[in-house]
Amino acid sequence: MRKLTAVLTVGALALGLAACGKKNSDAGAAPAASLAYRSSWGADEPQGKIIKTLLDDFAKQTGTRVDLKFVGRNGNENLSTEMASGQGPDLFDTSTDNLATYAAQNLVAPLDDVLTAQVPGEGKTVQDVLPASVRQASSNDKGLAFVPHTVISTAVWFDAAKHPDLAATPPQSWEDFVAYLDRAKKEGRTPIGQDGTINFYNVYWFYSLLVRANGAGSLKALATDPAAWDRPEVLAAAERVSQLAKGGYFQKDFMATKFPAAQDAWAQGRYDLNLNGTWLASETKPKLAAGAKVASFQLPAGGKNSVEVGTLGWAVNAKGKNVATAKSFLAFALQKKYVEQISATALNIPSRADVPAPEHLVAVQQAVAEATATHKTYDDAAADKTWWNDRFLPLHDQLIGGKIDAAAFVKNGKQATTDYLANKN
Amino acid sequence: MGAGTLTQAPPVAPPVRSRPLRPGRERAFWPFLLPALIAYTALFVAPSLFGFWVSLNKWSGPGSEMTWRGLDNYLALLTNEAFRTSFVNTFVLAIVGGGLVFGFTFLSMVVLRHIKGRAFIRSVMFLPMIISMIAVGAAIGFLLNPEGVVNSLLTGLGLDPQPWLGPDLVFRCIVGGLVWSSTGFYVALMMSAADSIPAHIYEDAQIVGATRWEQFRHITLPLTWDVFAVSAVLWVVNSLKIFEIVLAFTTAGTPGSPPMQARTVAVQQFSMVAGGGVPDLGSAAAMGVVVLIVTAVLIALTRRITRRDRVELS
Repeated sequence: MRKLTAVLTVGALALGLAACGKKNSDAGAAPAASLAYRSSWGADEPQGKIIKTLLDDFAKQTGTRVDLKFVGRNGNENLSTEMASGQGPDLFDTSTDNLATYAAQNLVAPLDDVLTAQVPGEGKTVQDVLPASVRQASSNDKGLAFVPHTVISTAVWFDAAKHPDLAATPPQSWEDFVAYLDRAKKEGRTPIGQDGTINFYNVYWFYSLLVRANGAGSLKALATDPAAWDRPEVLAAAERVSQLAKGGYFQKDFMATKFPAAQDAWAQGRYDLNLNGTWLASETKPKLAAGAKVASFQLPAGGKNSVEVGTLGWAVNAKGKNVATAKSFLAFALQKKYVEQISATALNIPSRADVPAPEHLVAVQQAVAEATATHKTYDDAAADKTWWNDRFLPLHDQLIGGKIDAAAFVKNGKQATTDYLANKN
Repeated sequence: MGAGTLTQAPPVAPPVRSRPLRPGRERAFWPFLLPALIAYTALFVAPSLFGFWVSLNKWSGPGSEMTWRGLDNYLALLTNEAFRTSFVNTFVLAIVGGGLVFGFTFLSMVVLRHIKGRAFIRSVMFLPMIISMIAVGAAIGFLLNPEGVVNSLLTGLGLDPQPWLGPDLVFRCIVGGLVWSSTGFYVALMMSAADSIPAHIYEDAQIVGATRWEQFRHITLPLTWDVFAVSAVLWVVNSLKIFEIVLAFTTAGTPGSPPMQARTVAVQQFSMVAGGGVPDLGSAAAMGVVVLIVTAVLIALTRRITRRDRVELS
């Protein structure tokens, strides 16, 4: 009996080893190039369809064996672990706000060499077709970290059909903006819809006011240097948020409004404005009032007038088996005819500046193109999760919820950051 | 002389006869134990020890560098208000929620015992347990939003609408939701134990004029005490892991972190490792270790408090 067990065990081990060996030698000697891509989009989403076409064309034209899987938003939860252990796909979807996550685990292959690659049939390089701010939003300290197909940003959204005045003359200063809010209130409307249970939407106000006026790094500094809280612009931005909270411009009990009730109600025309990302129109599309014409303006904050530029795109697994093929795919994917689909069917802002955005996003695309200063999503401050989730966002919720005033926000923020940094190091 | 007689005497229990019995069982011991032991060590003991090791380091996950922090992750938890709040919340859910769940369970046992169709009522009470939290989350918004059904009803009755899901009330709503979704399970468990109590005992009690409460106090509870003890331990273990109901009431599946007032330790752990930003697995593991220790202590306490001599029906 014991002998039999031993024989079976040794046999199983040998088979296992043989299987491993076979797999490895196969990969080494594969004659045709292959490419594995596991997408966080759904196969039925417009982006999924664009990606499918792209991969099919790439396979046809280059003879690459393509393995494409759509797993959706929640299907890639173990991606980091898989990639770190050398098992993951060659290509994966990522975005500006995940740059720090993947960089910390050294999971993305640096892509600076892709910048000089030719986009097939156009006589231009990747660097030529991507604006500097878009490249910057897709880079970490090791250079280009992923190749973007879509630009995302933040703006104040409204229905131009209902508010042609806003479309014609959007507020140019904070005072203009508040004057508009007062006017809307006086006319019996609710000026702003806010899904107050989502703290990272609430913080759009403080973040936009501070960073749009003072440029990249002004919010990030609050996470790394307690003294930064003493800067007068921090108090100024907090006072403006406080002004909104106390002015009754949000819908009643907005802090108790469960997502997506407020943005849906905005889409139905019950509130004038919603400060949100460029995805708002597609997210609320089924709820949009008949004849609505979604438009936007940048929150007027003065100062540097910095514009948020975030991107969505494709990263290459640093430990992937087909890094070179993945890189050649990236240049292939940036061909105009494919990037046009990001605008035409996915209704997003394309990464190439020479491809026009859908009508409702033209203003944002223009703001990005004309910006003299840009910053990344949340000014990269969300990268430090503990500070962001445990210290900063709960404090900001108190400010926008009207529980504390701007001075208390600054005082408590400085104290919380000091405590946090003392324990961190 | 003894030695001489002994050596000559025929062996009483010859080794040949005694060996196949004991060593036979011994031989079976390891082959039977080993697969389970290997599986348990590989799938539970080793990951737990690794988790403990991670809690002493700063680590963002495989591929990143692990730096030694010693007990600093634990010390940082002490000063982290978010963790303290989530810890207190978890306890409030365990104790207040537990009180309410078992209060309702006992009440149901008093009331339902005499009612016709009690099996049906029991099934209805069990139903919330099997509804997915995603569906509950969607319904919560519909019911408890500022302009939701509950506030419309309150307004209709001339009462003030309330910001149910706002920072001040959301935790109470979560306690309510938890009691609603869990009570049925414990009712089903306790009632099945109560059903096995012979009817004649209650008939005797009625003859001597015992009230329903007295019947519960002196018959039902002592005779179902074993099941109650197990239920209490189950509750403690489950309540310390409360997670998805908090997300259902707050962030609704977005990658955001719930408001501080509503966080439990499990939610706090989740926000350390998931969503955007660099994962802080060291802190998350430290929270896990703390909760594991607290759970073990609470289970021991619960077992001690609920320890009674078993009442046997003669």
